[in-house]
Amino acid sequence: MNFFNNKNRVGSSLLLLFSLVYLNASFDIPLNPVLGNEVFTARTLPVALSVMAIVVSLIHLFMPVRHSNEESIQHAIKGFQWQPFLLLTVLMLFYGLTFNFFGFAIGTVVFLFIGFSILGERRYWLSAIVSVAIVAFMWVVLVNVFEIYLDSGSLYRIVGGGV
Amino acid sequence: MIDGILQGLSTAFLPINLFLVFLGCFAGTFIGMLPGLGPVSAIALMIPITYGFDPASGMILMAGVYYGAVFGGSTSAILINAPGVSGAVATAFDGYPMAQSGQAGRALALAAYASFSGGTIGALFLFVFVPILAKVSLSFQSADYFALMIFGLTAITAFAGKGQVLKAILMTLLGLMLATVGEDPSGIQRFTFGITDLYDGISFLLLSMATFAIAEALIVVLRGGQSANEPSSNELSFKAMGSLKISKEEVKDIAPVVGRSSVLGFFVGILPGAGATIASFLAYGMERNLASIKERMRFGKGSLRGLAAPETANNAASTGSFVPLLTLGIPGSATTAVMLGALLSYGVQPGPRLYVDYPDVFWSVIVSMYLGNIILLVLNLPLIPYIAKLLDIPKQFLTPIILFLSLIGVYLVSFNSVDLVMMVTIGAIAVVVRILDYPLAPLLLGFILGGMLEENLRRALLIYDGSLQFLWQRPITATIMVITLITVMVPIFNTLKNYRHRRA
Repeated sequence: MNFFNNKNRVGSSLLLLFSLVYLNASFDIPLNPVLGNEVFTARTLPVALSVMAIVVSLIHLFMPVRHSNEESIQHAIKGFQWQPFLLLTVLMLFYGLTFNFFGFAIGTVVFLFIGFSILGERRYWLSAIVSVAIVAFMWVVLVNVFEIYLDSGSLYRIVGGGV
Repeated sequence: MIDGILQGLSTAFLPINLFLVFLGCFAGTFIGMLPGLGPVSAIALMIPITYGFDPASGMILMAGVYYGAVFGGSTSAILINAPGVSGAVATAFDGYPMAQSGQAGRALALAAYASFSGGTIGALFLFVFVPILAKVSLSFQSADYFALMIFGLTAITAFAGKGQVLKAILMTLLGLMLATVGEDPSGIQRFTFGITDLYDGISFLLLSMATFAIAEALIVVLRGGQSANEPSSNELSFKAMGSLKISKEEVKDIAPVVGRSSVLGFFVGILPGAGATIASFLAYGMERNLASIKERMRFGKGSLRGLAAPETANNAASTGSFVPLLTLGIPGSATTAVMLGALLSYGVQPGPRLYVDYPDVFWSVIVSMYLGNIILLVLNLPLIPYIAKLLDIPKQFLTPIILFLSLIGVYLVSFNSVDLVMMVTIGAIAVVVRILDYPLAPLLLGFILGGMLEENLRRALLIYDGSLQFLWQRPITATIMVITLITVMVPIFNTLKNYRHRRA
């Protein structure tokens, strides 16, 4: 079976790579000069863990393929809808990156409205009503009931002159 | 002990806490019914809300959510053959055929009664076993705790799915590695790369929400709105709910099943890593084997015994999984791992000291768990047809709402938008991990136990002057290490035996 089509091979290779990078970074952990020749330092566990992970990854990597169909990535992702997945992931990243700018209310309405559209909702008026209703409900619950401060966002402060 | 129980009772019966159990059961049922969202996600969603609560109230809400989510998972398993939780998969075997034959109401009622009975017997066992184990574990020292952490970690890998042991070990190690990010016990920064947001380490809530709630929702999107077990057009008309009544003869028939499955479920639930799923399958298998040939033929086609056994066992196991959490401070399942994280965030250290230092938390959780069972039976059962309407909400609306609730849940704790970006990134990685078929529960367990493991190992080495002698010199440590070794060796031995058998 093709190396890149095997779940175990790809998974163990990725974990092996991660463990090697982690091991390398472990040696950059500074030691506490006050504690002197301590047996257990800040490096001990990370080094031990990365060595164990490297060994287990290698064992897993070189284990014989038993159930080629079960281990096939192509088989696992057959029929997957990548477009909405990628668009939603980008949308969430956008929501996180612009949260301070748009603030809770505007940011969330936009997030929900676009999210509904990505997943195929074409009744835009309904999407708009649902998005605004959810944000209004959450605002009332969080701000008025739980008395949690929610940022209005830089945009609101620039346009509305609020604080 | 009596004082503690009374204190727990008075705490649990405070009006606010009674309201929280009710709310928890109700919310848990809703969330648990949504395909892809199980008790872990349900409890993780509750953590931000409970931050302002006192520990007892927070845990009471979560105990309610736990039972609600387990019951909710069974409801969707019975109604649309989509178990919201893995522990409800066996419930669907006979529950769904019953629903298809117009007995959805009876199936739901039976599931509720069976869950209640399993929870009741489990709670009684909990009252008996938890104090005994807690007293024994009071004599534990750092070395014993270290051995316990190792036991907790190895047990989950030993109970991993078929052919998944190495993957589970790798994920546990990954969880332990992630736990080392941030300040170490001696105050040195590790793997922070100068990023101030990493100084306190990765937030447990962020990790659990990203790996469960976000990843689950994204997987549903990838599958085109279908969860793994969900049929596309088999949604049941709620007009076909049928009666909720169960006859006396049927009660007599399933009573022994409930008794056996409760005991089995509770003790399987105690074992770290086993949990409700294994308990429900074991109970189903046991009842099938014990049934007469005629009754056995009905299994999988709508057998009452086939429905009662897994339902009883998964609830009893859910109760049993609290034993290692409350007495030893080691989570027996992903759900109790999330609860452990929540307790730690309240500043409460689970383990033997919990019994002594926080008797109100300790006993009120146990009492509330039982109250949760009663509330589920009395209030939720009549409401099921209405709660089930939730399954009618179109997925194009539901999924973005779940994603938003997950994101905002984490933001409300840290008020740091960088956490949102980190959460989405970890969520996307978790989707890849899921596609590659690596289990995420061991990662969470490793992450949770990592800090405690390092701290106890460091302390034990300090006491024993850098020597590992404590592993065999202290009787308690040595005993736990031997049990750990057996837990690890038995599956390896069985695999080798099967291999030789196949070759012969």
